[in-house]
Amino acid sequence: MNRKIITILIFMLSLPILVFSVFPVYTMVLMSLRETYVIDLSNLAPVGLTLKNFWKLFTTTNVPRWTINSIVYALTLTFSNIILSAMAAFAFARLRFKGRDKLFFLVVATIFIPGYTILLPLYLMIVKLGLASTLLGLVLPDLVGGFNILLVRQYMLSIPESLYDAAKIDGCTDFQVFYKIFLPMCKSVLILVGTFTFLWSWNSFIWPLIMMSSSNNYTLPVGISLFSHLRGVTNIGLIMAASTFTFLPPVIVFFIFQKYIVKGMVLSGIKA
Amino acid sequence: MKLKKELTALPLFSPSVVLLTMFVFIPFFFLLYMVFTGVSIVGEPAFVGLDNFVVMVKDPLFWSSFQITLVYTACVTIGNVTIPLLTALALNSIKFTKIKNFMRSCYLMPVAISVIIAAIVWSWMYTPQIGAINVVLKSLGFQEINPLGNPSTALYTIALVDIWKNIGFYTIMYIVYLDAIPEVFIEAAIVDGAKQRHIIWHIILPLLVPGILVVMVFSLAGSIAQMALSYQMTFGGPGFRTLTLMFYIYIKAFRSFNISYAAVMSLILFAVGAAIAYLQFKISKSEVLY
Repeated sequence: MNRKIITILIFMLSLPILVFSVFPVYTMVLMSLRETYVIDLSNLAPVGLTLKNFWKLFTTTNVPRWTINSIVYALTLTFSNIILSAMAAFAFARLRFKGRDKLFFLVVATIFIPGYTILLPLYLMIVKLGLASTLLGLVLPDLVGGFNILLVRQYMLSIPESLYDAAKIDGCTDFQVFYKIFLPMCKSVLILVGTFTFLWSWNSFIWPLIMMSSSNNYTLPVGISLFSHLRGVTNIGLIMAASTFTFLPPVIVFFIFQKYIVKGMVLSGIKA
Repeated sequence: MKLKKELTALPLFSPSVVLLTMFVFIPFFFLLYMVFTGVSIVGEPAFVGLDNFVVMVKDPLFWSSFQITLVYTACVTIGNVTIPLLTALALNSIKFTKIKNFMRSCYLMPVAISVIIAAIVWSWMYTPQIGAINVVLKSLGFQEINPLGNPSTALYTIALVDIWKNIGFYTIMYIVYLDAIPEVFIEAAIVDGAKQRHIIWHIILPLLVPGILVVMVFSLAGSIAQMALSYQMTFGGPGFRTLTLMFYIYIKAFRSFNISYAAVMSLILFAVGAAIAYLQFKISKSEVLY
């Protein structure tokens, strides 16, 4: 009996936390669909909804522009990370070449230099290269990540050596082994890398804030941040609509690829 | 034959290695260069040695932002270690998969949100008069609160948002460690007549220690360089009380254009961040799963 009581107690405590987790999101969505800016206990239910705020958002603000910027930025980084880390991981996992281990050590070493540490020198470098406020300047530093390479390589190491040997005996070149065999087999870890990169880059704030100087260049998070400081309280519905809209792609991606994301969180905890 | 091997590998790894060298190592060394010379947007750099460190040590705002960062990190980490543990234990005890998955999705929802959006929504919720929290408080007969405007509570208010955002992530991590505890331990204890609270206290929690450590280190890594929440919610806060180190670096670099000072503080942040990253590495590698 005691056992059941404690379990029930824990469960009961977790319910308010559940409400706590969901309530702000619910409020955000609700306010984006309303024209009044007061939410109180009387109008918490999803009634009296309108899409007016979204209409205003897309027709009178720079949000469409920002959306395109965000999409280009996020997709570029997502695909480049998938491809480049798969390529490098394959080279480090299965191919033998001079200096391989030393180079791999370098790759792993980059994990110990956190991104926020070098924001300033990176910014100056990009400016000196004449790429300030450009998409190229924005994406260059993050086209590939040491951690992603590590992760994919780890996965590739678990693919049996014999598969590689058999393919080579059959006359495949290393490239063919890479894209005909390894790439398809690594689908799940690559989807993992892709989803994490997409989520991270879509929601990224500081780097785009530093790099982009004109309103047309902003990504959604940066744009909304500035937007929220310009508009007054009466436009809270508009701000919430912008927030909800920005929230949608990551949450959709998140729920489609939930299986992989959860696996990725698991893997982060056990880099076995 | 050997040369052919190298030719095959080269195009595969070289883009990554070149990119990482250019955009991680070189900036890092550039940072060191910036710290020890007086580089600025205009003008010629000259070796200034430890001058920047002296300026930093004499700056009370540096010390306050450093302390604020530590307090913030500690606060967020305490929250990230305890609350998700509770939710993980709760999820673990649920047998119905559909309910379990639904609850899990609810906890995970804030993880997908951008920090900025979270900041905007929570800022609004905290707003006096019209924010959701105050509206609810008023209708229940309580006083209004303005935690973001109050210098002594602003930092903790922001920490709460950070904790809120990551509950789902750490819940999942804990579930991994909970799953790794063999059922047999618990069954044996039940057979031996142990009460549930003893089972939790003497069996589950000790076996969770590696998990708790991992969550702790990940939380440290994630909160040490916090800037977006401070930027959006309070912009440094009432009386600089939410000015974290990273935010101060940003202000010095991109508002005051004091590049070399910002650089030396970045170096300090690097020292802390790299130490945490190292801890992360060691802990994930060395912990044993039963």
